[in-house]
Amino acid sequence: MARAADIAPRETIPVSRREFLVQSGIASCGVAFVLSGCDRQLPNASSPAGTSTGRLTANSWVTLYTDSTIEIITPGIELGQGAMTALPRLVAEELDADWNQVRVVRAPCDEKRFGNPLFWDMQLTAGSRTTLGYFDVLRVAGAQARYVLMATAAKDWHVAISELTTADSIVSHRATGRHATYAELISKAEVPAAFPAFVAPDDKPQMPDDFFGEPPPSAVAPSEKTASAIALKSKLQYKLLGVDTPRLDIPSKVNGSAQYGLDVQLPDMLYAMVETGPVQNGEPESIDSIKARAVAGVTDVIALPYGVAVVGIDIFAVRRARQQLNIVWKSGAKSRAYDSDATLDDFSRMAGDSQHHPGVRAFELGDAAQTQAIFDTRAGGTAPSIESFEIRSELVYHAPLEPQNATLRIAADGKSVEGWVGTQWPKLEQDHVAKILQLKSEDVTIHTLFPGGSFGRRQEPGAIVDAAYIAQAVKKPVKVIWTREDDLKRNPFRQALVCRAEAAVSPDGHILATRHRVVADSWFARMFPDFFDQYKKSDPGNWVGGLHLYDVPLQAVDNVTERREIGVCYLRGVGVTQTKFAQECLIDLIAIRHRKDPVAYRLEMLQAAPRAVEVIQTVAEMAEWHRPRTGTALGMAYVPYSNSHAALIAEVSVDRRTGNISVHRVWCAVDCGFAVQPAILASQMEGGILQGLSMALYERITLKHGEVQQSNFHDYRLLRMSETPEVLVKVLSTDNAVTGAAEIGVIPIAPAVNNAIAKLIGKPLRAMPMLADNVLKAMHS
Amino acid sequence: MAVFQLNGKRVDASGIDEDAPLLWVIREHLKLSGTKFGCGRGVCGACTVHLNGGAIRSCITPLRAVEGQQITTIEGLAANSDHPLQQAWIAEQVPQCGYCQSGQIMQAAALLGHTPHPTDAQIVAAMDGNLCRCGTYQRIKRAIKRAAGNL
Repeated sequence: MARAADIAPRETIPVSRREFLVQSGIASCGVAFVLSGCDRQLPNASSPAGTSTGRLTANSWVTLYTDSTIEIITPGIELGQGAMTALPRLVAEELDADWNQVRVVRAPCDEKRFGNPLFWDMQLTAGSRTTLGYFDVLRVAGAQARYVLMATAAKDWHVAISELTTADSIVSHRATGRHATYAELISKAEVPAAFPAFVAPDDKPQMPDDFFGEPPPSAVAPSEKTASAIALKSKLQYKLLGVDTPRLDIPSKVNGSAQYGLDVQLPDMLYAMVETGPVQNGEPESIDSIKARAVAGVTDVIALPYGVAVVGIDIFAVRRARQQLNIVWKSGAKSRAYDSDATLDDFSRMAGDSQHHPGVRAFELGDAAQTQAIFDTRAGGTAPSIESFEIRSELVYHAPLEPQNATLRIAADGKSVEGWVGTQWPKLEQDHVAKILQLKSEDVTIHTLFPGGSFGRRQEPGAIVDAAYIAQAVKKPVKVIWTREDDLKRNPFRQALVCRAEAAVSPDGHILATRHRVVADSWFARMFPDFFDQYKKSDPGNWVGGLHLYDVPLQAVDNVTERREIGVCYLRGVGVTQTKFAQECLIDLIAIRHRKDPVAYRLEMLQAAPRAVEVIQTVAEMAEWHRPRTGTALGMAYVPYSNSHAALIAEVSVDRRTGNISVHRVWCAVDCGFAVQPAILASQMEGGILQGLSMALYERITLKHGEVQQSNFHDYRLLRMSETPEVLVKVLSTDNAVTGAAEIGVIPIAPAVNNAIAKLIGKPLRAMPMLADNVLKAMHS
Repeated sequence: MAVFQLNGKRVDASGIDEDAPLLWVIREHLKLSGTKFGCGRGVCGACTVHLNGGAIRSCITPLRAVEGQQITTIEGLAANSDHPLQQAWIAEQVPQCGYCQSGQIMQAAALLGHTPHPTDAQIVAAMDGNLCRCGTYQRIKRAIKRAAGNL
């Protein structure tokens, strides 16, 4: 199997362009990523721009056709989060396009042209950074196209460009009453060699980000360079942004016509499934495939480095033949050593032992020695009391409803390949296939389809690796399908994690210091060791949740990365979901111990963070926080995450006999800066909250001797409709820079529910998922 | 030999293993890919189609069981994709990734077929076997009510 570690992104970029700085004593963030001297990329007018019969290609993003169609390329993969609608909206706004004429086309795999400027130019749809990452570049793309059309009309009408206006795909000259549609101007249009500069005078700049630190300079920010630039619209002029529109992908998703990876059909295509061993990364020692090969319709049985592929002309034959395989697996697979309980016990021990397991100091604020002294020396007398909250969080399965699959066709001459796959990161699929087939990446074309659920899982290749080995052997197009059982067993799970959150509290309830110790295995360390190294051998996905905005002068976040035999992978909300659980439950614990109202207590400590105050006050009003309830309790949590802010209140009851937790209602207020598509943002929050609730209450993967104990949805429990609370979301569209919304719904639900449970049974739970058994144990301990 | 009606048209599936799950016959042989594979054991609902108007899990229904019967898939639910549920699904902007939604709509259509004005409890009881990983349940419920004229 291709070693993923060999394929780090952007290997060719000189280190000087991506200099990570670990900063101490800066409140906003611990790790900064600096693109020195390199502006965020803007569309340029070089190829493929130009005109040809019937169309005008203004830049990499926009092509106008004489039949009035306006084709806009969308760089972000539509995962269900609305990228296919929200991103073209950015272009159309500045283009003053008639939205009904817009046709959206998926970007090909080309990071140079379509990479996300706030994601190191990677064409990766993840991390809640699609809309904000492309916010400048796509508005400029639209403005450039509009400029071409206006320049064309000005020349044709012998008027000054400054006298022209545009609206709904029409250029007008008020003084002479002349009008022309964009389509009418195409035949006369010329794309200039260079575009003028554009500036966004009233944009609020992007703030330093939890993961990425200081953003690279925006090319449309007011500066000397943009002194004479053409202004982009102010928010007051928007007609499409901030205005809801139906998602463009939805009609195809209600009539069965949306094409997912699994739906690909090619002429002469074979089907394949891969049998892997009882543990991950097993190797076949001997294969008896006589019976399997005898099944009618089976064409090949192929040994892979990590399994055995059965290939045939139809899927039933393959399925049946697979059951006839007799494989002996090599003993001594490393993953045999993995045991879920023992792993979490180890992590817990390390979290509590900073002396022997100091880990990496990922972030600190204030005098480190003083922080150290408070937590490690435990001075008596008038010293502050130490409150702590440790959470054990188990492995979680991404569980996309569409299992991993991929279809691959190698050209007859073997020199090029086409792959069809639902993915969040086409480049990585491309690189993996190229490596296995010993081709150059550019010889591999990746066609992206709708992914049937991603949630981080499709950030790394799955079935396409199988497909590359198999297609190479059978010399025919092949569709590889993982069954649910395959998908669950072979999944790289969300990391098991222990977070010990500690606070030093003065007798009157003021928090003087916080420390978070986060112990987990790392996706970064496995997949991208160079990035891991540049984060000082820490995994930001695991620890950035330790950052907070509470007014606490001394802060520290330590990250112990403990590599284990089972691969882990970021899941929507990453480790922030787990660390915020500890942090927000700790805050409630302290509030209650000091007889303070949890909402008031948070507000007290967030006076310097007006956006936090706003979402907390809003959600408290929505939920009528102070209204007494009978039989239920309210719990709250507040989460800042990469400059987004969410406050959430859950109304919960507990069946004291069974320990079952019911969540009846959820209120959430969210501020993601300017909301490009408020209704889509609200649906992202609803979905995130429910996915977060599912993980909070039910979801866990357990391994014994390296074997995953769950196999399908009968024993891997997901939230169902009957368990779904009513969710009310209020989107506060603010004047702040655009931030992300994909993950922040997932994060606050678990601590909010636990804080309600603590009110109901007298103590919070200390594990995720919050199983009924744990409730009973907590009640009776 | 399995001959059955698929979306109102006669289909001859002879030559295909009669033990083959209907799901894969529909998807891979008859090339109607709107019906989805989720679990293969009838526990997620993504493969839901109608057998004579009732909702079934096609992933655990062998081809032989549909001999002579009427099967309806998402593609055949309404001539112009304008079934009241499909319209309601758009009005409520239900789908996210969308993968489970064919099954959700077919399950809901079977419900409205025998219970045109379901209560909330009836909706939940009918839909509880259909998983949605994106968490669109609340919108699904609202869309069913809208289609039933209960909103």
